[in-house]
Amino acid sequence: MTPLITALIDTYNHEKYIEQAVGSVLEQGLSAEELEIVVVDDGSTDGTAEIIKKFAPRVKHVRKKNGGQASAFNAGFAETHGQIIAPLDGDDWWAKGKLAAVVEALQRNPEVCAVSHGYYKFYESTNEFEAIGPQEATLLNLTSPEAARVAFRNWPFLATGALTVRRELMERVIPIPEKLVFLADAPINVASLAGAVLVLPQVLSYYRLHSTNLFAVERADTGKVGRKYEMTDVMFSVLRPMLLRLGVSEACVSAFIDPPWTDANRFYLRNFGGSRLRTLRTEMRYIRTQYKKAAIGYRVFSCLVLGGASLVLPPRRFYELYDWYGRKNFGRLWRRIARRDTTRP
Amino acid sequence: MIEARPVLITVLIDTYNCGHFIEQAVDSVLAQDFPTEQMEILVVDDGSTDDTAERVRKYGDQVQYFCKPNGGQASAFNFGIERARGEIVAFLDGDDYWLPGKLNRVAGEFEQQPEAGMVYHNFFYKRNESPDELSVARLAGSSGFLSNTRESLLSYDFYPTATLAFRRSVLQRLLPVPESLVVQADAHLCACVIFVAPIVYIDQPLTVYRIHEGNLWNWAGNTPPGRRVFEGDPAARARLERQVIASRAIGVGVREWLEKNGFDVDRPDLRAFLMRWAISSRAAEFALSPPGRLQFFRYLLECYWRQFPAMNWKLGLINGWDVVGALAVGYEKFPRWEEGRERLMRRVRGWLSRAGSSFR
Repeated sequence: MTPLITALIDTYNHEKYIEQAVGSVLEQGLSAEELEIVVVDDGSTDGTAEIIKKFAPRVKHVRKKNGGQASAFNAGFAETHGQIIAPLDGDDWWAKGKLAAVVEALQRNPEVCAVSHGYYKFYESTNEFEAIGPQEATLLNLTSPEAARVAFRNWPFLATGALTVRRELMERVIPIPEKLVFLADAPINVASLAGAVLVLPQVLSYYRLHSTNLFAVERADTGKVGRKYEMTDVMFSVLRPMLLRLGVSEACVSAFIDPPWTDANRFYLRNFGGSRLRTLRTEMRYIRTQYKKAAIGYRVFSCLVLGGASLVLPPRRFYELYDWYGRKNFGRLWRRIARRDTTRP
Repeated sequence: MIEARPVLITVLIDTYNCGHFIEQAVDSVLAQDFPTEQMEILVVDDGSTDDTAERVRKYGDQVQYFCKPNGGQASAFNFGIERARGEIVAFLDGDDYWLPGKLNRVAGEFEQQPEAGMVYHNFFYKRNESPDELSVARLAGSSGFLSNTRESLLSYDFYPTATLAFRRSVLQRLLPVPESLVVQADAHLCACVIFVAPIVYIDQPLTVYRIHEGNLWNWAGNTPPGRRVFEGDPAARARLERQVIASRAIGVGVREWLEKNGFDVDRPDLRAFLMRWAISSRAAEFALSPPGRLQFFRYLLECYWRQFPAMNWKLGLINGWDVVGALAVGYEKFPRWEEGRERLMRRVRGWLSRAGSSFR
């Protein structure tokens, strides 16, 4: 007796790839009683719809107006019935036997709420594959600040095509805020981490990187980079309350979210500028998370100097000064007076 | 035909790899002086990998045996309750057993108090196999509509699965038990039932609750390791992590149930009630990674403030003293602060008794 599985494919203008994606799902070798396939077409303007129609009635086709990945997940999930939901992007595909391996792992470990696995990054321009995945089966959770930091480092293993979750978890996350246009899987990833995620070492799916893939950004394309970082900011503002709601303690939430939040903010401010208050907020949080074990004098000094400077100088100037200070290694003078890390003898 | 008889009580035995205890559990049900035609026994086997199936099949028609793929205690509950036909559903874990006369007593209470949604009773702990090792649990059970006052809501203790019996009509309103509760699924039922119906407590031990190796999960076994700092034993670490996850999952499940049923979870009493799971998960979290002094102080202060209405003056004084101690000595040295407090209390008690005797 196996529970019903739903493959939830979201697609937008993937006419070149969607056939491969749906085909890889059909090749899992599961019957219609075992596997339900739902494709959400987020208002594609190319030939995607016709290609999906070919697979009817085996594949359920949900069409909606274009509204971003989050709205596609929301609309698609309403049409699913499976106890296990396996999302897949329309331009990625699965290896054979992926569902069997994942479902077996979910059944053997009832305490985890999601299972992920390694995947290949496929660089379309060069036709190269790069395997991403852990060395051995890894259990990720947010039970302590250390575990949260480990979970954050391993976040890349929870790519959309690789993460398979239980329905109960999806019900908790849906509706995903629609302002998350292309990081819609982040709430799913993070909510599964709040329970526990098992990452299998097997490499069982393929993630395509091509120029229209919004995440594969080139450094030079500043507009896109800026958009990505704004989106990251929105994402964190969604994730923090969600984690607290899921019962994760503030210490763990802060260990999980604050470092990437400060990094993203610093990057944005350094390159695009912004308000001084935002700089102040970023730096204060940086001090709070990085110097947890610092001597009290060191913290007070950092707060005063960094806080003052961030209010006086515009963000870009501030970070120029900050980098200069780092390059000259002036920190060592101050460290003679007060220790930054009191844990060391 | 079984269908023709009215079934009054459904005994729901959920079990997972309890092969060497399951016969004792089923026997203890069959030995109840309760008419067998008014009782059905369901054994829900959550995908055991031991010899549970053969051992239960021996009983033939007396027991309905279901084997489902492993999915945790909540899934076993949902599965079993769906198949229950009795007006009352009495729970039993495969590794515990009932004492004679329990079903009669419980059924009698349900009959006398038609509005009662849950009847529960005291229990014995059994730490090992020698029969004289039973000790009575010292928890405070209480009866009535407990969600009415903040005090009763906060002083309500949860009992183990094998002591619980529910009216099925009430139980239906608490379902489904969130399947993320791989263990302690009964906590969800215990927590939600008090918002639906009054409950009845029988202060008489009618169940034996076993504490053994495989049972580190339940109730007495999960007493958080308290202030002992985690020492790098991977099994202990995994256990603590599961404890954190389970406590959070129960809290989230109860809150979602309350929201779904139109309760305002921001009400101070409900927030305090829901904090119990934050507290129990935090205790394990702290053992995993010790908090700083300020963080520990803030945490104890928050607990104190939330739980204050449920404390008598003595508890209020003791806990208040502990809050001060958190700030004074921090997490790692906190046990010594507590020892000092114990010594002080003994001395005060000595003075009081001496003063009392001289006064007499």
